[in-house]
Amino acid sequence: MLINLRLKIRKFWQKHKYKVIIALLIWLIVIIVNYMLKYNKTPIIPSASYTPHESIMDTEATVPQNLTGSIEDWMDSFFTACNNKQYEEAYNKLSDEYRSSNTLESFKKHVDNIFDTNKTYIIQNYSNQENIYIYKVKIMEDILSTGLTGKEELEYVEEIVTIKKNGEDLEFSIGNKIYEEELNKVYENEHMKVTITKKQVQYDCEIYTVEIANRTDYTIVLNNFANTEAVLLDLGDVTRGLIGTNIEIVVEPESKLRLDLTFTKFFDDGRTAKSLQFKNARIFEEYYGDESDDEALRKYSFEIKM
Amino acid sequence: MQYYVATFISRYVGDEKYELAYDTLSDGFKQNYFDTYEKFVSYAKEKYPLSCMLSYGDLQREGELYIIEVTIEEVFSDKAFTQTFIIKENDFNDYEIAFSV
Repeated sequence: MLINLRLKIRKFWQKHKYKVIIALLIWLIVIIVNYMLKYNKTPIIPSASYTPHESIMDTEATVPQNLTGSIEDWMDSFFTACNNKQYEEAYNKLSDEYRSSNTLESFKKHVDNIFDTNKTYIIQNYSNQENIYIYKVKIMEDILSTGLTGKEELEYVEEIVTIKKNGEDLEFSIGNKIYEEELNKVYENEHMKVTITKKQVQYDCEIYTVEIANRTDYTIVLNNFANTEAVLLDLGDVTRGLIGTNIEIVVEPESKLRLDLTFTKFFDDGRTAKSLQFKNARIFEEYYGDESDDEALRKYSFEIKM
Repeated sequence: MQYYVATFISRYVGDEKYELAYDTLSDGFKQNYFDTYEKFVSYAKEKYPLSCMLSYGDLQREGELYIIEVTIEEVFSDKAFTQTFIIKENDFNDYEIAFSV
């Protein structure tokens, strides 16, 4: 009986040995792959990650990796100083440009206004253009410690932090102003001299400081409430009117007027201001505010190229 | 994030595993409201039903934090209340919780 069994096994092996070898090999491969999958798992990461240095406006324009550490360190030390009411220390972390137009006293008031209690902050890169990086910072109570107890919804203050790379240095400022530029662009004729002295660039607008000197005994009107297209900023493919409906540009005889003209213009729209256009300059012998254009001694338009 | 809230309310508090629930609270939150484990247990026993249904409002994200409003309804009862939860996910299944007290 044993001999028969052995003969049967030998016969089976001779007939099917290749199939058996292949089956064993497949089984071995399955064991190896199973082992590899078991011990080489892809780590599970949180599904929605926070990317503070990725621009909201353009997700491909991120802040360079080598700057992010310095930026985070600055934010931490600056807002810690603000929380601790170390006004001078925080103030001195800001750029020369910021400090030249904001006193320590005004900065203290700004800090006291926001940091009435201990606050935490969340940074988010908003827009990047050349060597300028704009962050929006939400300053709020430490909701992971309070659970928003007693609050209907999250309350926060948003601060804009502008970072300029100047060579190897980073310069930080807060507030809406990105930078200011001296222009000194002039237009003059026998009636007036108009000088654009400077412009202030903010994220969503540009503010031009204009000085108008009236050389005549007459009143010069460059803008009044009746015409919203009298003063325009030429951006090449588009023009923008003044922001604000109550801008009256009336220069009394032999006097000067200095004012700020604000136009909508986004910092990262890729456009450059070409000129300031005054479309409805009028000269009146006397002006009380309700005169029609027909009563003007002269009417003309002019532009000041940037 | 709903998973973490559900784990906290149903699996931990609902199954009376108060230690696990207490461990998920953020340190600052514990310091402010439940500086002892006993205070938390007393609060949880009074506040949360052992069997409840959860429904969720919109999830709001602020940096690394998530804010979600949760309505907790006791099963076979009219009792229900809404509570805001704040969650910080440090890594998968590694999180901290705070809630409106």
